[in-house]
Amino acid sequence: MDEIALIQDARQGDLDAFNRLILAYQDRVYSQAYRVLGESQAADDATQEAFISAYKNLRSFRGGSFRAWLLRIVTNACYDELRRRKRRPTTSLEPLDEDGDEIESPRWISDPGELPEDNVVRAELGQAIQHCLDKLPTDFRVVVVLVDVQGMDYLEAASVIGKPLGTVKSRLARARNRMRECLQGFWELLPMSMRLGS
Amino acid sequence: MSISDRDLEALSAYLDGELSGKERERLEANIQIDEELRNTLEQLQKTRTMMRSLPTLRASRNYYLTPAMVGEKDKPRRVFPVLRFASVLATLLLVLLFLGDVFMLPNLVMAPARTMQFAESAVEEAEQLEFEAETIEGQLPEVPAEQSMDRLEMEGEAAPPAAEAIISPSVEPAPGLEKLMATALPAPAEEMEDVIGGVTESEEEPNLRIEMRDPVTLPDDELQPGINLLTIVRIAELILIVVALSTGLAAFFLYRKYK
Repeated sequence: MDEIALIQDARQGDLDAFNRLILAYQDRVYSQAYRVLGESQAADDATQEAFISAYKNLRSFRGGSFRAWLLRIVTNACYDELRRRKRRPTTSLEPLDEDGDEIESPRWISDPGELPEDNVVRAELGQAIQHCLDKLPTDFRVVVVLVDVQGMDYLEAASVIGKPLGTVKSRLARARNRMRECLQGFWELLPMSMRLGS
Repeated sequence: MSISDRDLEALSAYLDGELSGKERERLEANIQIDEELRNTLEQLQKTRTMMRSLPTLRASRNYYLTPAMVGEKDKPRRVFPVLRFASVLATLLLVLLFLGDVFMLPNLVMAPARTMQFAESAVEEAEQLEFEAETIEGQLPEVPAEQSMDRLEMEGEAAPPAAEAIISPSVEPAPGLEKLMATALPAPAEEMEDVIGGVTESEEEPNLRIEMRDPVTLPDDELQPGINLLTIVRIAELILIVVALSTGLAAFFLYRKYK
């Protein structure tokens, strides 16, 4: 796929060329939206909105990493969605403990079904990580997803969030530390090599 | 003893290889002597590994964009009224032009035709005159040249001055020609002078030739504007038909597609 040629064609109004770019990046963009928002329907809406916005603002793309540019747009769409949620809060479906806090035990999110045990454990681990991600402040969550899930380096992450490199370093370190603390509650799900204990 | 934020940042950056040479060396030295720092580094590494093991989620559907999604549907909508207006305008102009063509243009085109008819009748009249003149000439008796000259000289003295011009030196009119001409063409002396002068100067035919040639050349010149106008009107009608049809069809298909 000649990405630059497709971008040029899309700039000229070739929607088919842009749809080919969408096909190449939609999983990454959806993944970013889902990890930040923690909800498939909202991630779906944010992804669609991001691609529409990207097409309309394609002229503002000045070269560089197209993936980083797309992730920046979808991250902004996620921020918009989270702001909307703040204005119209919804009732959490997660069970609460006696103090009114959400229960972090993975048992309630397990879905044994009839899947093989490994798949169940992997699915539960994934849900546990997502659960911990959801607990992070949005700014921390965005950075840790960009670096640890999307595999970006610090510079790319800084360009996506539009902040200095030092901010990325700081937010990432705090996010990882909080993730470490959160995941200790799910130790039984972790493979032996991954168990976080001293 | 808890780890400071600065140490956490250093450990996190160390995992990603984002520390400078000096910073890395200092941290590695601290890790050797600080067990808690070492444990935290190990846990952060495991956390990072777990995060990186998360699969890239597959999108639940394709996010292909359609023209309607990106607002390109509005473009044809904006063009539609323009096309419709152009079609209506072209049709109205065509009707006006057609009405003008039916009621006014024939008069303009017929004017040269009438001129041509008049010219043709003039030619016929001239031919008739020529025929009569030939008939008269045929009836004239043969007179010897010398005798006629004498008679002419004698009669010329008594003739009015106009008659002198009638007889040119190069011409040898037959005896009694003057009388006969006077009876055949009962015109005033001056008019006769012109007529006969024309006959004599050009060996009896120039005037007639001129009259025969005129009707042929005249209509061409006078018909030209009428033909040009007709051509222009026809071309304009054709253009308007094409414009009205093309814009009308385009507007129709746009309406069908985006209604």
